[in-house]
Amino acid sequence: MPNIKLQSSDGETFEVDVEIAKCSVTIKTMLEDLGMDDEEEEVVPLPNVNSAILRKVIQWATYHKDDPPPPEDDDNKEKRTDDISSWDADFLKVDQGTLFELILAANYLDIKGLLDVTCKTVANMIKGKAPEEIRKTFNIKNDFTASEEEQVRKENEWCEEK
Amino acid sequence: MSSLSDITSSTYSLRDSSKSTILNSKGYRHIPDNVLLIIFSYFNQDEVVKNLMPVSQQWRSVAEHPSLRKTLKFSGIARDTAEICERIWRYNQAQTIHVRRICEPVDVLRQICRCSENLKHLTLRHCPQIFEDSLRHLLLTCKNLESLDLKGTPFRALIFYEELVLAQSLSCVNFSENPYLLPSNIATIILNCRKLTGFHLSSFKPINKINLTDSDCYFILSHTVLKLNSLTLDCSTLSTYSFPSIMRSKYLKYLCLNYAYNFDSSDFQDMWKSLKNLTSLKIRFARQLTDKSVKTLFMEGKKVMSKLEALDLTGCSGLKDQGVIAIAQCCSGLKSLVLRSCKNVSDIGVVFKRCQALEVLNIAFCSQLRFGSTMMPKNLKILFISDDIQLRNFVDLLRTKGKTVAVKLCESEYNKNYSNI
Repeated sequence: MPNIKLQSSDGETFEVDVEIAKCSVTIKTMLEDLGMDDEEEEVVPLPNVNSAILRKVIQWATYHKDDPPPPEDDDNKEKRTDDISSWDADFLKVDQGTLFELILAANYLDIKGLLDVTCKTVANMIKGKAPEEIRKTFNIKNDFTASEEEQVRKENEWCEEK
Repeated sequence: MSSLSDITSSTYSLRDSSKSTILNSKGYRHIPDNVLLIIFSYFNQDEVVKNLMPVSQQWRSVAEHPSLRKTLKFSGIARDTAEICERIWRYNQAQTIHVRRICEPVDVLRQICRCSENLKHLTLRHCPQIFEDSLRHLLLTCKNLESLDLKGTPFRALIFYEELVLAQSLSCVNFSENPYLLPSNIATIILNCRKLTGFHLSSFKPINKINLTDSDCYFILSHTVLKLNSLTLDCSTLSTYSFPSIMRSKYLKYLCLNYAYNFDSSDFQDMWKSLKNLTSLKIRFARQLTDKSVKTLFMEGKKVMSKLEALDLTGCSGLKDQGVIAIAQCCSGLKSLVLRSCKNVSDIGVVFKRCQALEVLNIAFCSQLRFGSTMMPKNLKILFISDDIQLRNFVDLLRTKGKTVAVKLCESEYNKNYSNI
């Protein structure tokens, strides 16, 4: 089985099975576009992912390598957040900073399965929280002007009878 | 309909517009818009507007993404028509639109025809200014319409019911409270809506009652019998013989029979033998039903009837305390119970004890009802009462015990109007 070398932003190199690396659409496209398929010594630089996160991503991709392709999003169904597998749940028992970096890595590498499950985890952290609690949890600044706050309040009124 | 991933990558390319993926070590401020959109897609629309939109500028701009607006609701005559139309245009991917009691429904409907060609569910209730032409236009433009609910919206129709055949996906219709609807129209509806699984025709107000004959009823049922999963009928002019044929629609989940004057106790108590999927049962003004038959239905049919989430026995004057006990012991998952005008019920303590999931209770015009001080509904959210001293005392009692229940005061036994108190 051919391997490929991935290099993290801090210079560490990881040797990974090509098939596993290809769960990242970004890497897959890169390999196809650049015809790097047979060049075994080639190193793929990933300047947006550090080694700690890249290690986690490879761990996730290795565990999920035989998964069937994720189903198409169905617009009609309300999406569930309570169906995270126990392996994924354990895998994502990390601090908020790491979870956030994993999301950014999954987004950059375009790994749908990992992006979905990390976003689902964040959604679960938000569920049932009021706006102020959400800001506190994720350290977000309330950057609304008074007039914008008024607009948002008006938007809320559309839910009620007038 | 495009999926979320299509939207993020092509039409509304949020991915391109997200500027920074540089990490802010303290928090989530620089999370890209396309990622936020995926996170938001796990919330329902009310949560998006109430909890997510007010967080920050970025969250607001993502929360306004059209893919997060599946349902639009416009209700009340104070709504500005231009604003309604602007929203229909802005959120033209909405699959469901609810319109209720607005002032210029013709303009709004025209805008829906212009913008919402993928609309699946339209509710247009209590809009008396509508004309047949607007509705015909709707059938021509919204080809994917699956349900159409025009309850309380009266209109004269020459050809509209024939043209229902154009709406090839239409599977659920509600033409209730339309005084211009004729029995011959009913046959036309049934014959032209070939995929019908839901049929609703009723009026709560006695003056607008729809007078169905036994043969009308037979016609409806014989053309839909193994397809229907929801049915509403006015039964005031149906004889006893029609009810067993209604019970043969064995896939019904939702059954509402208004003015079921001739519904016989023996047919009622055996309904569980054929209707095994019921989750909502509304039998109103079935004056022949005895307390014993209610008790029998909910005891013998316990396995089937225990799936009920909504039960409405408005005006079933034969219902007494034994029936109520059987209901409470059978239906522990009940969320809504309407005992309006059940004038011979005196005690519902057992309901509070057994039906812990109960959220809505209507005990308006239950003149015999008495309350003990220890009976407390646990999760009750909405309580309907009438202006009776013992019901008002009960509300006072709830409030002194610190229960936060929304109380609605029903106006009259002859309409559904109420005010908040």
